[in-house]
Amino acid sequence: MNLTFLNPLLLAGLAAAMLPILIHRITRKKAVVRKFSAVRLLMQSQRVTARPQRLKHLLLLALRMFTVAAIVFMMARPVVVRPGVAALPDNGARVLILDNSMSMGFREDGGERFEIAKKAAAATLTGFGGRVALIPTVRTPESPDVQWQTSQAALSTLQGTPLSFGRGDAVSAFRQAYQQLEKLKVPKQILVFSDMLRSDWEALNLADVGAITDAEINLFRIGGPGRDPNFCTKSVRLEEGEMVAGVSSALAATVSNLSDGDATLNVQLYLDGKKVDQKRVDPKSGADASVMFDVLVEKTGWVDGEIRLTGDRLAADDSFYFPLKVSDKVKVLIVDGDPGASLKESESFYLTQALRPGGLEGTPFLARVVTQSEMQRLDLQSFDALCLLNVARPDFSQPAAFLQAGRPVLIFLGDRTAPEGYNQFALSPWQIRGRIDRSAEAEKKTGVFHIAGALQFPAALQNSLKSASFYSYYQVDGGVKPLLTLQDQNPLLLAANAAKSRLYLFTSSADLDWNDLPLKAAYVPLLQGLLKEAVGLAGASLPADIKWGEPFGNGRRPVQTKGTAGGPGIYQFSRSGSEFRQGVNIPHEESVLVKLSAAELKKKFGPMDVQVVEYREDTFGKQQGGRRELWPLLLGVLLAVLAIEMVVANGILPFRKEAITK
Amino acid sequence: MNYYDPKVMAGVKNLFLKARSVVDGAMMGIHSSRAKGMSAEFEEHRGYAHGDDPRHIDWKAYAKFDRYYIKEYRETTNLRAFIVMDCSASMNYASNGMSKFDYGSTLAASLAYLMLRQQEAGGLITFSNKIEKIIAPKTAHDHLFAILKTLQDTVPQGETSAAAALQDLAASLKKRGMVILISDLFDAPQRVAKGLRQLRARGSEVIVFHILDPAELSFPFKEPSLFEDLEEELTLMADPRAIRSAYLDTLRQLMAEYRRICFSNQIDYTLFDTSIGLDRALTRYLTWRQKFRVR
Repeated sequence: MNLTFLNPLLLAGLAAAMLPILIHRITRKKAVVRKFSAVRLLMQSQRVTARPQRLKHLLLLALRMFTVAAIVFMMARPVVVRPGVAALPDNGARVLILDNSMSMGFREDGGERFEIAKKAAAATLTGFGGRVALIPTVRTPESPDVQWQTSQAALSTLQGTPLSFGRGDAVSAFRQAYQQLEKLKVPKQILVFSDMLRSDWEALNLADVGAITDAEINLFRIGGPGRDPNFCTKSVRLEEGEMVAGVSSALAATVSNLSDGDATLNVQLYLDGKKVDQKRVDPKSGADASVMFDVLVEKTGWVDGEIRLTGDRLAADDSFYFPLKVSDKVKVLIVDGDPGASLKESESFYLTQALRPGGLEGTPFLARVVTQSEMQRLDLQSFDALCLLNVARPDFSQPAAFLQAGRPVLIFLGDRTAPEGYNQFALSPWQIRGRIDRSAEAEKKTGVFHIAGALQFPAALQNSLKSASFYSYYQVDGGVKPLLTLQDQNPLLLAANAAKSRLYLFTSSADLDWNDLPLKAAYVPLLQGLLKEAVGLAGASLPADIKWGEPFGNGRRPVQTKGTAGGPGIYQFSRSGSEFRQGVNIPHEESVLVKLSAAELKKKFGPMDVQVVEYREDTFGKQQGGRRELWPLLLGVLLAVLAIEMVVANGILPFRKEAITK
Repeated sequence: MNYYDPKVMAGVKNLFLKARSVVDGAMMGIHSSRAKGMSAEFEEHRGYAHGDDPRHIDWKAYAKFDRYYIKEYRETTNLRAFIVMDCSASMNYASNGMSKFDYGSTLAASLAYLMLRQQEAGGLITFSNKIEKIIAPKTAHDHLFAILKTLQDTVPQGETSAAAALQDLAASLKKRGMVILISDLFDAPQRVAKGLRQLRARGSEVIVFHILDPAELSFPFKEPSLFEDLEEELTLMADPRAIRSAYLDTLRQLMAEYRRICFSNQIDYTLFDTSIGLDRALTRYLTWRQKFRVR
């Protein structure tokens, strides 16, 4: 705290404080000479009162001298300057780093943290005459360039700085601040207003951004050092691949309880803006919980999905956006090379049943069974997948064209197939060799020994698959890694890229002739999964959502169809002439409201003098420092001193005695 | 015009006129006074006893009752009163035009006039640090003028020593009488007390008239002053406002001490403020005396 004077020259008038002494000397000489009859009594009285009177006179003298000095002092306009944590001379340069990351949208009792931070930053600009640069921790293409401004202009820029939806980049903010300050030869200061979220500040390393040792750094934490409770949706995925119109799909939403206590969350599912389902879930503290929704969409095309949570103080991450692409049913052409007299005796019976286990309802596949001669008359362009079942010598011109069109072909061998015919297929990377037949020696039948990870077969059904017995199958050579391998190390299922699609080879039969797989529980999911994978319905069940602030990629001009304008939501853009949508969501790390402690923050700045101030609106005025004129205080003191002087000088005190009367 | 106002009285040079006007005024205030009864009067008859002086036998009563009766009278011996007047320099102090000496002189003259009018012998003693002058008590009419002349010719000077004067007086008194002390009593109370006790021991009745100026009683000064003593070579530089309280306390203690001494020796003590009319002061005193000291 410093004391300065606005009119310091007037302090010379302090010499006037000697006036009371001079007046005392002068008046003493001019005392009235008075004859009196009882001087001896007076002297007696004087002896009694001499000591208190001397004290009184000294007190009066001191009071009068103080009065004169106080008047001179008042005229010199004393000002107390409290440096505070944000004090800076008017020739200084101040950089304000304002955390506008999503977490600053947390609602305190006194309002949104971001607004509190802006208010605190604005308070530091009041009365500051130096230059100011404002740097938000989340910059967007619309953000103005960082430049030096006057306090007034910086205040305007501050008010116009919006809350962002992404992660704060403290490293980048400090780098810009240092760039602004490094060439200046004036007092420098960096004031940071942030919640000091661990995810935003963990990466800050002075070695990366450089250090200006002559800059004073003050970190104002908004919202306290403790972890704030929050809930968010971490991810959403379709459990059974892409959605097919008219077929219900399982949609799993993973929600996170990012609080210190257990919670009950209400998870709501919205499709195209309409609430279609809601469920309650009770995740433990710090744990995730999964909520399953059964989703049925009747029409094909894009559907905008949203998972909404309620009950916390950070609204920005309460919604998770995801687009759903609803496809039409997969049309599968099955060429039966060994049609039987009855449907059950046909080679295609079990496969057909596997693709529509409950009838046409609820299956994503539309299967059509034809003979080899019928296939030659068909236009295969209307089909999404082609299955050749025990076809003796297929004309591979059609499958080749099919593969060129980007559609998969699945080949199932059998007793009627001629390997040499298949080996002539130019797109085939393997060679079919001799047949192994173990049907006569039942004890030597073999099962599935290995399931490749690439198949993504459900773990619960793997035992069922491994329990299947295979009596006959073809040996196949080629450098292709099999998806399924038999116990004798012969491949059962192979897949390879062919032309623009995939070619699959099942070395045994599709019916019960060479194996008992169709009777196993694993048969339906195996074939459905295989077909889904082949046509691209499996795998990434939803377009991967990107986090707010990440680029969409070159040339993409997205249009927002859902969500907060300019923020999280669903964006639509064109890719290869077709419409594509992508969900943009808050980075999950930004929802984890764990803060860096003051010690951790100081450690990041090494030997630099850094203050971490827990911001409180009611005490910020004191923390901020400032200047205060003292004349009102002095005036009050002066009046009090004058009153005391009057009382002492005029004897308006309890020991005043009245005259003696008879 | 109030002729008893000390300010007016101060303009009257003739002490006799002053004394007469004061006494007239005082007597008007005590109509039922028995002061005139100081002369010899018949008291009662009693039967003759052997040894009684035959000259006191009432022959008229013998003629009427055929028995001897003796006529008894109240003792009517003349009162011998000394007015002891302080004429030290301090008595010359006057804040309102009339000095304590003038006031005391008028009081003394009034008392002398009153005594002589009642055929009582009144004398005067003036003193400062010693007895200055003595006029022996007489009942002659022209004796009053001797007293008045002495008072008029006396110039207050010297230090006060009432104690010495009283002790000298006590030593010289051969007969009981009345001693009226008129002084500002700026003396050591214990020494004054000693003189008063000696007078009382001689059987004299003592009355103390304590004369003080209003400025001495209220100490109204405000400006820083250099106080010079009227009797001694004493000076004191002081702020009156600063010492007023202590001074008044000291004066109160002094007066209280004199009151205590007088009370314990059956001495009448009366404070006279020179700003109060003498007639009123005298009347008040005579009334008080008549009420409490009638025998």
